[in-house]
Amino acid sequence: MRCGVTQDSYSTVRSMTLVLPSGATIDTAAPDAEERFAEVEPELACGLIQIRDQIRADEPLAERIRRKFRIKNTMGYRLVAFLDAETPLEIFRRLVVGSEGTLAFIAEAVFDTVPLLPHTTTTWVHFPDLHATVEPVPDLVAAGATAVEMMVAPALIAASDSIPGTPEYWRELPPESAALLIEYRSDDPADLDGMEQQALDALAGRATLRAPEFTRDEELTEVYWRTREGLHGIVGGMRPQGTALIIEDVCVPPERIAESATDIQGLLGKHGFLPDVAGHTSAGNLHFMLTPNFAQAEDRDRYEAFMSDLVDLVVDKYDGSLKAEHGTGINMAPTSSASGEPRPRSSCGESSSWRIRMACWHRVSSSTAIPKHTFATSSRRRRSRRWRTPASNAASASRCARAGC
Amino acid sequence: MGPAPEWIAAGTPQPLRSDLKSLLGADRVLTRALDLIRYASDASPYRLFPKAVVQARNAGDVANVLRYGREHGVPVTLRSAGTSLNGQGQSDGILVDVRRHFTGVEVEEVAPRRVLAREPRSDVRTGCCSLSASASAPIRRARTSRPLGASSRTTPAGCGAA
Repeated sequence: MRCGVTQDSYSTVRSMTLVLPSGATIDTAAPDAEERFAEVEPELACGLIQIRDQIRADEPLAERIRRKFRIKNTMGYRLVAFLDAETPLEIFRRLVVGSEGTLAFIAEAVFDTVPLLPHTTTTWVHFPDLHATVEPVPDLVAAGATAVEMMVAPALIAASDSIPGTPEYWRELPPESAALLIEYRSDDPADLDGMEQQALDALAGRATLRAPEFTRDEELTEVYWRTREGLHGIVGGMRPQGTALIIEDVCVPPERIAESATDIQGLLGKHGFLPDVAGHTSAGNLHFMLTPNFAQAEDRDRYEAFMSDLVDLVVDKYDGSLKAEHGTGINMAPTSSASGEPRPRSSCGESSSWRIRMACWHRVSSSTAIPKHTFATSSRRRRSRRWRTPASNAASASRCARAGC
Repeated sequence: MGPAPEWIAAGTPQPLRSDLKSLLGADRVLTRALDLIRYASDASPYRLFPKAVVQARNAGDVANVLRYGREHGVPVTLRSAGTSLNGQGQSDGILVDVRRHFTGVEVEEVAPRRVLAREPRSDVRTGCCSLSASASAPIRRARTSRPLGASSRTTPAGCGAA
């Protein structure tokens, strides 16, 4: 996603109709919504205010929560809701965004729209290696780019086989090279010349493999984005038979993107995974794929060892998010638990935030059947017991990322 | 994980099977082994077998299932239109599929423009993917919060996957 933290669902949703775990339904836009919420869920409303006051009374914790959600972060509940809103229902409807069905069902939602800025100019810029690729990202963002995405050459080379209309020269890219997809958008087509110049200025003096070639052609732009969005399917199609396809999704403060991309590439190599990193680099958000074979004990250990190192790197070194946009799920629930871990990991990296998350969940679920297994389990073993081991990957299924295929 | 558990062969166990059918109508409840296996996987590397699958048609159906789950101690999980890359949409209790009947987008024509997600009228409802929400907007100068760069399989609402 390119919406960052200012144009995401949390920031643009205005109201919702919520089905609460008790079965009661509330439209948050109704004039008497707060009163009704307090009436049908008195303990929940009261509990939310207690948690709000507890967070606000602890300034270091409040500041830490603010900082953790200044970058993309979908680990656990979005605790900054307790700082962004005052009343129980306004806090609750914010917490529901990203709660993965553990707090309520959103039956209806009303979103504000944001300007489309329909005129675009877009280019790929190729660099000799990953570090050189990611280094200019902060400068490009400062120079007004609306998107700066990164892909490594092996993925582009694979895309040149599977996606019609990709540039011919991609087939000849050095495998260790990587590229940025840079996009500028405006309301006024007359702005685009100046924007391209700003990008060229930001790239001046850097070692690029080819001179940037901006395009304003809609069809070619579409091919570029189809390539970027098709990464999951491209890697899925290339992976060995019988392996799982896991996409990771970490986020660091955007100014540290170059350093972190190099660290993650090193970690992937150390554990024998493909060192291919991609991402929404302007937001500090990096993706990479893991293709372990869970039928083999050695691969299960390799995966867990990698994940353990990854958690240390992202949380301890960068104070980042373990999931920027893909949610918590079974995958990340164990790493955010307080029990069985030497250092509790959570959306705040502290046990206090874990306690807040569980307090929220208990307020909602004490009298309900909303499950916590996908969101707040304390057992890492529960995750490993749930792995499936595909016997074979049919070509069509390997590229499929739709739930329930 | 090994093969499917043996109980799956008989489909949804009783009394859950008849309880849900009388609560919601037989056409909204999937109970065959085939259904439970089909809904056990998503885009994640995990697999959980639901005891039953409900295809909810409206908020009332969801409310009824949540009440039932609370009364009988059965976990209820929602599956909306997201990819569920991390196993968010998996359940070993009742899995409520809100993708099939919660689709559609409606764009307000008054300023400030808003995209609506209302049930049972036609708008961004929970099963709706963000790209179709953006694409169907009959206006050119506005988009929803999950614009072009979002995967066509992400969801703007539902159980709030992100």
